Amino acid sequence: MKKYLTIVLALMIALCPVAGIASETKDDDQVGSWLPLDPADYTKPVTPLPLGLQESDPVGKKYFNDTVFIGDSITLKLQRYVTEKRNAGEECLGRAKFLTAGSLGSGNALWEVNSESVHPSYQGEKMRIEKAVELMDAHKVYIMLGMNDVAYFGIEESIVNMKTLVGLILEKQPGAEIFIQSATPRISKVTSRPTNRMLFDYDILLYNACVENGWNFVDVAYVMRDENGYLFDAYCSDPEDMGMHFTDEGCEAWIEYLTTHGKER
Amino acid sequence: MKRIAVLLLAVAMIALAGCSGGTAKTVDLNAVKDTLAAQYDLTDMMALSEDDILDVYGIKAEDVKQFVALVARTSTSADEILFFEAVDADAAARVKEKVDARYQAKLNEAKDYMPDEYEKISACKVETSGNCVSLIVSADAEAMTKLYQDAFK
Repeated sequence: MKKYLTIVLALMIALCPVAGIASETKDDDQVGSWLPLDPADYTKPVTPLPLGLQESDPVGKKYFNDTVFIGDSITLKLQRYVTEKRNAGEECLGRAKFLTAGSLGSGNALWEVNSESVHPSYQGEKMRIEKAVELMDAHKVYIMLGMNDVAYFGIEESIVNMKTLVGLILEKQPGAEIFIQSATPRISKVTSRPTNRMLFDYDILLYNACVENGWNFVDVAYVMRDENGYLFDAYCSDPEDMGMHFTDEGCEAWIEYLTTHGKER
Repeated sequence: MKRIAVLLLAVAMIALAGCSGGTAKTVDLNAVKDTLAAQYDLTDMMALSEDDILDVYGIKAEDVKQFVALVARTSTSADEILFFEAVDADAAARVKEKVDARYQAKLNEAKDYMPDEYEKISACKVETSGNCVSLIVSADAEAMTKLYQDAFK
């Protein structure tokens, strides 16, 4: 009996940092019963459960038709993967569009567009993200940024920049639903900045920001991490270099996660 | 006699209006791509569709007579092969503007975090020949460009 109680107690302690998360399916529930998570509560850069939107039945075929995916070179690989599938006649994320640029971050996305800026292009014209989202008339906005922010701006400022960026998007496209994806991890042998720990801490604070603001958090990083929080080797296309970009297998895991962690209206 | 002369002149003008900018040779850009593929490993590249060239480059289908657009399958390679034959000189100018913008964007995006790719891109350039616009970004760009140019001779 004593052993049983010890196990139950241990489980409760292990799940403590995500209390109130697993049952979050509605924004009201999130805000009502929620305490901010503290990255310091996690000894390893892993969570016992995914944060934010929880697993659901696969979303309908039309779910992503009104979606734009915004991101850096990580999302650019997803775009290439999806494009190749579609051009081969396969259905892949519906008619979702992409706004991607290598080196893009929530920080430099706020800069003015000029000949040297790294804003993504919409139909060949480089422009601010919020303007492109408006022109696309996207109703679901999935954002994955941070890899080019955390090392340069620090975690706190990166969160502030993300909040500013989302605010600008919602000004231009007021009805849009925001889905913030966690920044994905790097493989174990990479030690350059942003470190895996920095990315994890950023994700935790990003999750807090999502709950505070009523945005959806899609914890893609959860499915990319091994038991120590590193990117699975099989998902990494550049293990000898940056150790953060995805293989086709990584993209498949990503898409699977997206389709089973949606939010049908 | 006058009618024959007009006819010959018209035929000559049509022949001169192609990519070669005066040498009257029509080139199948896909055949050029096949020639490149026979000599260089392009298996890590993927072809873009007509819809893609509007989304990615802003190039409209009605401006283009034929095209080849290959990009790297990974996002960490800047490799890209673009051949466009525009329908006329005005369209060629529009296509050139878009490809120039693409080239500059590639430079900007690689500058701070992919120094090797940045060097590779810097060594390449957008070229025009008649109504054709091309950009080859590759470690083998120089040799590939020569093959491309040879196709018009």
